[in-house]
Amino acid sequence: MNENPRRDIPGIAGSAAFIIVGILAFWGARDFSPLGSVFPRTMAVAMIVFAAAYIAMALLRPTAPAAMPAGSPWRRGAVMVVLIAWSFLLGHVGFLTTSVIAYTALLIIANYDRWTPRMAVIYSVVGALVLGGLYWVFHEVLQVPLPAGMLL
Amino acid sequence: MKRFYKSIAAGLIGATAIAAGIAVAAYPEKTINYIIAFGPGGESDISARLQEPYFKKLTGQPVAIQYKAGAGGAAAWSQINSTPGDGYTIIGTNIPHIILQPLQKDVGYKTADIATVYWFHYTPDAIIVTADSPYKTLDDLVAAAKKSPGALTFSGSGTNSANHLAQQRFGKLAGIKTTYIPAKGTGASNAALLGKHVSGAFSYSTVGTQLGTQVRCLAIALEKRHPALPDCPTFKEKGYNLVSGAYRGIGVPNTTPKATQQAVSDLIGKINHDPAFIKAMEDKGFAMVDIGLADMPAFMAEKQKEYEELARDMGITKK
Amino acid sequence: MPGIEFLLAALTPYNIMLAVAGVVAGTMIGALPGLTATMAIAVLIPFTFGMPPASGLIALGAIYTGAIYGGAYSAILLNTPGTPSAIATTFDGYPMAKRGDGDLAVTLACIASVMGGLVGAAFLLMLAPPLARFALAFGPVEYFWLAVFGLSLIASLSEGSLLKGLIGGAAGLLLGTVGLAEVGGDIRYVGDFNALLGGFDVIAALIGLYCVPVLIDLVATPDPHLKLTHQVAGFRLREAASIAWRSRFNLIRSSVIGTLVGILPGAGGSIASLVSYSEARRVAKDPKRFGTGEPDGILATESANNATVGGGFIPTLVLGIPGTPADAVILGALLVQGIRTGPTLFLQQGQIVYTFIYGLFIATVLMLPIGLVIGRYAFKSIVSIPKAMLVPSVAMLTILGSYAVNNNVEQVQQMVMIGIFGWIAARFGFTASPIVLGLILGTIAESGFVQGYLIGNARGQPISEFFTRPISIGIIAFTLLGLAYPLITARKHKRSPSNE
Repeated sequence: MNENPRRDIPGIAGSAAFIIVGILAFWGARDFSPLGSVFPRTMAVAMIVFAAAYIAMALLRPTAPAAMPAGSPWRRGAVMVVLIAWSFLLGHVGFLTTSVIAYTALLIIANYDRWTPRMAVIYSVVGALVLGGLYWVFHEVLQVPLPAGMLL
Repeated sequence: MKRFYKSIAAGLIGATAIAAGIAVAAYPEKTINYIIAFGPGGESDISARLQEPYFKKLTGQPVAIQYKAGAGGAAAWSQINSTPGDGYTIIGTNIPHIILQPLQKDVGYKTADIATVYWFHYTPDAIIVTADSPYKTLDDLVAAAKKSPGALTFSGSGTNSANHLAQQRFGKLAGIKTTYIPAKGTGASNAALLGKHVSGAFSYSTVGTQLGTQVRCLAIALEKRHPALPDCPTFKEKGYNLVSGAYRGIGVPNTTPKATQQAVSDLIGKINHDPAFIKAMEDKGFAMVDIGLADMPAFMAEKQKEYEELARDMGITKK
Repeated sequence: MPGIEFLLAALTPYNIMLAVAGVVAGTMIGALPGLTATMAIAVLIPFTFGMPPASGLIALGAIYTGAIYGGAYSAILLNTPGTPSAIATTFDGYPMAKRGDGDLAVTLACIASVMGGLVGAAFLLMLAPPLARFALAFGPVEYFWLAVFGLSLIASLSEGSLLKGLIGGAAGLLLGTVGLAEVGGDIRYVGDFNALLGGFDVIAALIGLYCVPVLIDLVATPDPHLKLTHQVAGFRLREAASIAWRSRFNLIRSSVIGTLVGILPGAGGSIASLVSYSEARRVAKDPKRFGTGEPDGILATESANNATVGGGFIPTLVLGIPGTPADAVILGALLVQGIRTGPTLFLQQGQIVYTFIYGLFIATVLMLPIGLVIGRYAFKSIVSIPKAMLVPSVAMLTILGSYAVNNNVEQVQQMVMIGIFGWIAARFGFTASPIVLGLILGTIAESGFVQGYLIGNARGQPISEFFTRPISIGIIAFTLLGLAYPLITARKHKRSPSNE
């Protein structure tokens, strides 16, 4: 930690963001009933104080920022995009359709081996089994009303 | 759009079938999905569970009870009209919830959007104290409240709920000031009551039966005494005109054709007249009501007016 | 032992078969993130209506105890608590799995769960009525302080920076205020997003905050999800048993804490495991090892959360007040079956009650072999599945799980957005656990505060109400002790540097 004294710039930026959120939360509580506003206001103030204290500390005393994990940012971004799309299309398009597409997409994103026809066949069969199995368990056994949407 | 045509088609088929005189006999042909707008274990769940076997018994078709909790029921009610109106999706509805929530804020549905086809029971409000409480009668309680305004505390389920409204109304009728302590559900309110953290509970009659000899019911907000609580006087007997509680009913998506709505309404009505069902419900402290589709508009208009006034008095209407 | 004659009544082949089936079903449901014990019971209740009351209860108890244990699998192997009560199991379970000791961790969790379950059931058998009275002594004020005590754990959970942990905790507490407040009736921070009326669902948030970051980081590198340092052969039962024996005091203490917290209606398994975790950490010789894969952490949390099963039944059966949400469902089933709970239940319907309690013992004991087998299988499949299959399968589970909590698509969206927020926050040095703690404990703290204030106000002492009640003072003292303890030990360590 002390070998390479740096400022925790991300930590400072994050704390600043939390201060802004805290101010907004405090301001947003103005319409609440007295008892309903005590708690969020106290928490907002606490958050602002802690965040300000952190910024002060980080400026006075060099601390190491959180390490950025190694790896491919593209794949990370792709996973986020797939998850967001999945969750927002689920209700409109239907559970089965979105799941088949998202499952396949994630499979491709997560795969680091070279595609061979054998592997493609195995993965699609196993994937279909997992998907079908989970669908069956939730829909039939647990009677969860999965969204059918436009397609299924 | 497809769904729209489908429902028209279903309506036409339903209408012709009625003409042929077989529709009521034909419904239901498959499992009915019964949505509960609350989590499992609450009063709505218990009464649905009590109904459950009678669906099978009377029609040969089971129901699948599903929970869709959130926002005090609003999460489920605001989405019910986007489900197919074919009579196979029904939902538990509650008064005062479906009247008060839209008054308070835009919660994604309006009271008129909820097509309730049958109100099948109601849970009367009641004042419950612990068995060893110094308040033996309602008069003791009122006298104590008059002596020290605001010092008496009543736990109850939720803010702006049936319990809360009843506490406010009773305060006005009796000319007393008491403090309402909102709890997260009836179970939490019961814990506060039995732990003597509050002077009493402004809760439901079901609490009186469920907690049995640990508690005493001082007054119940019914027209007549409840068969399961014969020693508990009504507020009316004591001179306070308080008849209130939470009504529970069955609703359908508002796209459901009238004939199907009628069929659902008839089915719930049939269950509601089964002597064994009535006994099971009354043993738990529920009070039976029968408001079917025909009486619905008049009943809803009356309740709407009643709760609108109350909500205005309590200052909880939308700004 | 009271009602020992009913042990034989419980030991029928039919009941044992039900217990086995219940434990297996419960364990599997609990292992799936999002499917909680409450839901498992609610779904399976209709099947019990055809059974004799005691048998039906045994089946439900077995499902319940299995589901609480099953939550440990996903906590250890995927860093995602399968049920909220397994949150604290992720703290040490996942680091253990990462370094290659996943099988050991799963076996430890199994031993601890059985131990906790037995202690909880023993309390239920022997001391139910007096303990139920103890539960009633907890009023709003006590719940408020209990939540504060839980929040003080943030101090020990904050890897890196205490201040960042506190910021995260406050953020979690604020997140918990979003939506319609059941106590107070305000609609807060919803704006025009009606989807937020119900607030942020705790389980959806849990899945998001713990599981989504794992998925995001999993795809970034070709390295395997969990290290495998040895051939997976046995259960590592001997090794686990000797660790458990060495930590027997921790096990017993955590089980007792779990039972006591379980008795409190409205507290539940997540608080029980957090409290016992912080106690285990506080008395440990080297608290720094907690959070890095310390077996004692798993032993503490898993014994505590299974002890809440027996503990939670105490107020449910004695008072008719459910100890946990799952108990509320079981209570509903009891009512439907015409069983009147309450002080007279043990006298009037002793046959049902005692058969049920012994059934719970049987189910808990059965959990050892069943849990070990399922656990080993779960571990083996998680380590041997290629990443390309693991990622989409786990992602599908998160989607299904967050949906199934309330059958609500919006909660799936919440889960994903909170998860991505969690991943980004971690890049800025803000970890997930304090946020989760704030979210879970916030509603308990706030309703305790509001109710306590109202009651105190009616008594004309709104402030002193919070500081004068004996149990409150005790909890406050424990909180302060817990916060000060690391400072005291740190000083000691400074004085004797040889002590590592």
